[in-house]
Amino acid sequence: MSLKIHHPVGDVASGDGKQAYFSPYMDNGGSTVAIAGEDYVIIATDTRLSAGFQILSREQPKLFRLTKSTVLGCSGCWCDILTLTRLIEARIKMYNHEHRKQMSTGAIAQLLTTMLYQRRFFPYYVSNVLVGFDEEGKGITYSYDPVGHCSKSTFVASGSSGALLQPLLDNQVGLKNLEGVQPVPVSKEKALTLIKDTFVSAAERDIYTGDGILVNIISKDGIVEQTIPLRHD
Amino acid sequence: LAVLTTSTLPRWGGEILSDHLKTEARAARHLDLVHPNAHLESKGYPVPKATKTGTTICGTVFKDGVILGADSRATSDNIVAEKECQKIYYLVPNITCGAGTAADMEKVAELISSQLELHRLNTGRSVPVVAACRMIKQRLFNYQGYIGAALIVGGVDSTGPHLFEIHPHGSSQTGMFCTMGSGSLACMSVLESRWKENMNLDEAKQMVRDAIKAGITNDLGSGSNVDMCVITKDKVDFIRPYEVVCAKGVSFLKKNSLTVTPSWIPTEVIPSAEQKELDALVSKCQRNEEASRKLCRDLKKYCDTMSSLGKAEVAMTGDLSSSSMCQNDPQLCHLVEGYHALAQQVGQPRCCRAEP
Repeated sequence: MSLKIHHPVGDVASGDGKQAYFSPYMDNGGSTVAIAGEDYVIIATDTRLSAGFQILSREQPKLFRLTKSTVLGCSGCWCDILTLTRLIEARIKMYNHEHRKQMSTGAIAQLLTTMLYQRRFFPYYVSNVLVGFDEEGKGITYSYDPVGHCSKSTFVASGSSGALLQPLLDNQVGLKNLEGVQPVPVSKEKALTLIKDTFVSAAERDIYTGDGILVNIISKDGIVEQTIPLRHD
Repeated sequence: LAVLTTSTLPRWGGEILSDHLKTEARAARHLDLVHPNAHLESKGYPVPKATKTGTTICGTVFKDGVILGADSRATSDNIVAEKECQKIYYLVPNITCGAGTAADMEKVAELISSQLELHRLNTGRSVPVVAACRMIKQRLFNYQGYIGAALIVGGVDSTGPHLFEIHPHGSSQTGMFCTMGSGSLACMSVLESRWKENMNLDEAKQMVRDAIKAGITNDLGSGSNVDMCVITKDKVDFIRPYEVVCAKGVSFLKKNSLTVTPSWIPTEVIPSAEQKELDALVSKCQRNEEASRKLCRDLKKYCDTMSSLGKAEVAMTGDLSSSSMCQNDPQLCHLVEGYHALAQQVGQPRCCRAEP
């Protein structure tokens, strides 16, 4: 499902009498890529925040650490992202106090679905990707649409350049449309290189992706961060 | 059915359409396609999306002439359609930069270029820059803004260097420096703070480069390289690219394995050179086998024909010896009988052992 974005004010220069039109949504851009492996998960977002043709920030990361082993990557309307992440962090704290244990990734995934669907008729304009570990300890990726539909997978690309990046991941990680290959599990190093390269490609062709990437590599030992620069134009 | 491509085709109701048409029909001459366009749209065929260039272009006058600069990105909504597109078009000794819809820009430039050439031949003198400006703005006004071309026309003629900026509806302005496109604000900020009269070539080039670079880095609709064109009285210097502001990102993988099948584990590894030799040998053997089989068949045929020839000889000599001609002539008879015996002798022990 996708939400159409209208420009907040009608185009005056064209000379036609458009009525004044206010849209509560604004697309601030951003893309997210996540790959999950046997004992690791890597998630990365670009760091550019934009509004129309303007750049609002070159160093705004879009990753939010919810627990020690769960990270949420968001793209879309920045105001909705801020509110959603604040609410989710509050709900996780409440859960921790009530149940005296950490919220698992699966539970957070379910919580996010519920929270998004509660706003079914005035949605959060956010594309979410939640990563973490499942009960067996294997990496898992959940990707959401703006109203809470969740799909579980091992690799996903979402956001403004999601349509450009998902086929690349399907080919390189999912090994689709390749002849004579053995299904070898993707190693952490290969996944990291792949994510960096996908973003480099996205920055070439999508104007809303660029400036830099923030990568979070999550494993049993914790979360390691990396930043890589991208094109500035 | 031709459809005018433009970035802003207004959506009208039925009644408003006819009113608007009336006012437009009074003013313009080329609106015979507005009604068909509107009809198409009402039937559910929206205007096809044109590639806008979402650009930064600028021009400035300096001591000896005019410098025009442009970026090189063409976008289609949020996707970069072309990373190295050319936005500076050649007219006559005058050159234009173009912003706006890419197709409109190209066509306007081509048309005006040929009209200016005709003008030059008709008048027998070099074309003044104002002529180009006037032709372009008259054409754009005729189309009431539907041709989405916003341009900067710059050149040097017998009266000196000139610079004009022309908007899609047909208005034009002259000045010492100007910018257009989605990155025009970023560009103008640089030009306003650093422009001064009678700059020399290097200063002016640096300023234009910085202005376009500001557009490239701060505007999402512009990107990649700075192209520049320096026009003086004597020559035109088309520098493309003047500078690569943002180069293509470097791949992190050591080998370019994004275009190659990833490595897999084969069951038996034979090095390719040996494999080739093996293949060559196998094909040679096969050819030899074919040839030898054919040879055997032919040999068999030969043996059969030889034996049947022998039999025929025997039969013939037998007939001949028992014929009346032979009875009458003892010498001939003797000869024939000798031949007959010989033929019989030769014919017998032959056996072809032709086995493949």
